This record gives sequence, C-alpha cells and structure tokens, in this order.
Amino acid sequence: MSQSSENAPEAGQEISGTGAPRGPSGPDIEPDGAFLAQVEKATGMSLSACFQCKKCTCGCPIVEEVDYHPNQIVRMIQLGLRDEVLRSKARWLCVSCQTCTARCPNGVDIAGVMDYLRFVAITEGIAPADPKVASFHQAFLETIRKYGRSHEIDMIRRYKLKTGTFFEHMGMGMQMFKKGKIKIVGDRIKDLEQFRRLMERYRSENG
Amino acid sequence: MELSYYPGCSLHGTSLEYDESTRAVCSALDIELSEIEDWSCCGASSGHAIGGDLALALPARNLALASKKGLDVVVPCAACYSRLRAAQVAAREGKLPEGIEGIRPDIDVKSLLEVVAMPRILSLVAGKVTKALTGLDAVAYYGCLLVRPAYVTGRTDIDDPEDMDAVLGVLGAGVRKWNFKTVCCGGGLALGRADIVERLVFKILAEARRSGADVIVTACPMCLTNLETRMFEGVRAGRISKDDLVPVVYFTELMGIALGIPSVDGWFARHLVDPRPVLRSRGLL
Repeated sequence: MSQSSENAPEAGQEISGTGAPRGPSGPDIEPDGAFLAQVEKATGMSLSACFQCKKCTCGCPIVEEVDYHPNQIVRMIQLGLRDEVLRSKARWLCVSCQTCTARCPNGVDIAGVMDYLRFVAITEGIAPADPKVASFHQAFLETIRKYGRSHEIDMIRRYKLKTGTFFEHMGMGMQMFKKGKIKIVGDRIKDLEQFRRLMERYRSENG
Repeated sequence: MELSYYPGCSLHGTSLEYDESTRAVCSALDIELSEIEDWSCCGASSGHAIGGDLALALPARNLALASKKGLDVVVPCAACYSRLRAAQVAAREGKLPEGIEGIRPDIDVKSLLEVVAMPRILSLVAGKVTKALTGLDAVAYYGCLLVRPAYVTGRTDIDDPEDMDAVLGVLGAGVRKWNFKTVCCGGGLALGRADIVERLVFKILAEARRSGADVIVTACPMCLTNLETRMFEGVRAGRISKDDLVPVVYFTELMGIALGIPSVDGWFARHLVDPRPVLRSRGLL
C-alpha cells in the first residue's frame, strides 16, 4: 500500500487543506456497473448521461442538510457504491420538489431515482437514515389503507406511536382543530375492499 | 362547461376553504363540477416516496372512475394534480403497472388554476368582477408540483409560470415580481423534519416581504398548510415576530372577493395566519 493511502483521512474527515470531506469508500474505488444497470433498467433512464454539471445540486432546496448532494448520488450510482447510496440520508430527506429533474440538461429524472432508491431500501429492509421521515410515509399509507382516504388524526396517531414524539406539534394541532381543519371522524370510501386489494397488489413488500 | 371534480383528501380536511371557494367560484363561472363517485386518496408524496407501483396505481383508480363519465378531470390540489397527471401520462404511454385498466386516454387532467387561466374563462372572470382587488399587493406562489416535472405537467414555463399572475391581474390586484414563484416549501417533510422546513418557509416569507406583498397566493393546500403552520410555530417559539408574517390565501378565495361571493369571510376565518386584517385595511372585507 502506498504511503499516501496510509495517511489518508477516514471517510467523512476533511482532506487536509482542501475543506472537502473525503469520499465514502476510500481512495481506491473499483467501479462496478451492476447497480447502475439495475437503476437504469428499473427507471428507464440513462444515468450514464450525467456529466456532473451540478445544476441539480445548485437547485436543491435541502442541499445544506444532506450527506451527499444529488450529483454525488448519481456519481456514486455510476461507480456502483450501492450500500453508501442506499444508506444515505439524502435519499430520505429528498422533498421530491423535482427541481433537479426539471433542470438536468441530460434528462436524468433524479427525483425519480430518489424514489426508486427509497423503494429498493425498503424492499431490502435497510434501516432508513432518517427514521421519522420514513415513519411518516408508512403512517400515511397505513391510514389510507384503513379509510381509502387520508385522515389526519389517525395518521398522526400512527406516526407518534412509531416515533415516540407525543408532544411535538401539539399546540399547533390544537390550533388547527379549533379552526375546524381537523375532523374527528374521517371520510371512508364505499368500496374499501377493492381499494385494499389494489394496495396489497401494488405496494412494496415492506412499505 | 362540465368537468369531473377530484377534490382530494386535503379539501375534505385541512383545506375545506379551498373546496368551498372552488365550488363557489366555479358555480359563479358556470363551470359544473361533478364529483368523482367514491374517489380515493391519490397516494400523495408517500405513494411515490415508498410505495413503488402504488405511485401510479392509486391515482389510476380515480382516473378509471372518471373514465366512466368521460369528462376531463379538474383538480385544485397541486399534489393530487401531479399524481393524477402522472397516471394519465403513464396510461397514454402504456406504462401503467400490469393489471390497471379502464382509463380512457382521451380524458385530460387539468389543475383548477389552468382551467381558470384559460383565455375564455379569464375574460368571463373579467366581466364578473364586482369588487376589484385594488390596493392589494400579492405574489403568486406556484410551488413545485403545478409546474414540475415538465414530462408530467406538459408545461414549457416551469421556471417562470404566469397563470396565477394573469388571474390576479384580472382581479385587479397589484402583482409583485419575485424570484420564489416555484421554490419548494418543503411540505413533504412537515411532520418528520420541521426544522428543515422552517428554514425553507422563512426564506420564502422573507422574499415575499421584500417584494412588498400583502399576501402570498397559492393553489396548493400542502404549501398553504406548511407555510401557515411554520409561521404559527415560529411566532409561538419567538423565532419570528408577528410583524414578519405574510398571510397565505388560495387564489380561489381572492376570486371569491372579486366576484362578490358572500361566504368569503368564513373561508378566511379558518386560516392560522389571519388574512382578514390586511384585507379589511384595503377595504376588501
């Protein structure tokens, strides 16, 4: 092993003097095209077309909050860094605002890729890097499975049971209730049986 | 004009005032809304965030129900509009998940804003304005999903849409220019990561104030709820002052004032950041 790689900082540490964090997997990445092929096949998009112009990252509203920027996620997929991508926070914090997708000069639907990454991680049972966000989505889908429509009280109850955040948002919830924005009894569709069959058939395995 | 109406869950819950103002305004414009029988949730952000094929299967159920009548579908909520449009585009391209049938390719999914901004409807609105919104300065806030992504919305003006600006202009409001028309408010993370969302909302708020707007006008119940709740919490926690607030209203509510619809006050009473003081100060309530 060369001298330089022995002295290399750990992943996430600053590369001295550059201000930049070091990449996730060390200096020597053996590119592996299998994951890229899987993502491209499933999404029908050419991620190989990305030439790292970073327009996606410039437009990303949560770029300060995430571990990897959108352009980095795409590059990591190109390189085959499957685990790092699937365990990333970026995947969960993406707000699906579609700005990256809208601005990509090469037609890469980056927001769609993020959806697919979440889907793969859930299907494979990989623990989400931001469990509260994942819990929200799960609570939402459980609620609509019960009623066929969303119902805030039921959804928030499920979310709070999953996350243990019983007192968060309480004051605001009361205010919304006072303003008549939260119904005690939720709407329920008539053909729930058919709706639930549809959900069973098309949902992801652990979703 | 008769259209199939998909209200979506928000308009039956947190945003009743959007449903009521939509119905009142459409009735005033002779647009007949026929609510889709037994409509169900479109899946919203969770359907496509973690649901895989549910992202298309859930909205597709509603398009199949609407296909029985064969009318174009109008959707006020930006998030529902996006999901129903995505399913419609997939249906036309033959890309729906296997086993989903019964969707007529010729029915169109339109946002309510698009319908109102059609030249024919807009001139109808102009002729029916009884109380022009003179003296009220507004910014049009489109958010994400009414415009993006282009392969779903079919729009070419995704960075600088003009529909809502045009509607507000016809109503007589002063339409302020600003750069945040389509900047995301973070609504999808509202419950999970309120800290991130607050930063996004405060930026939008600061920009709206800088532009000189009295109100932020939206067509999205997620944006409105998200902006209002973050402002409400921000004031409660002392992170912003009451003087920093800019009320958020639906474009249909402002249309209600301009068209002289009597029930407007009840709509505005439901807001967490009360728009009535500024509307009264401009002589509009």
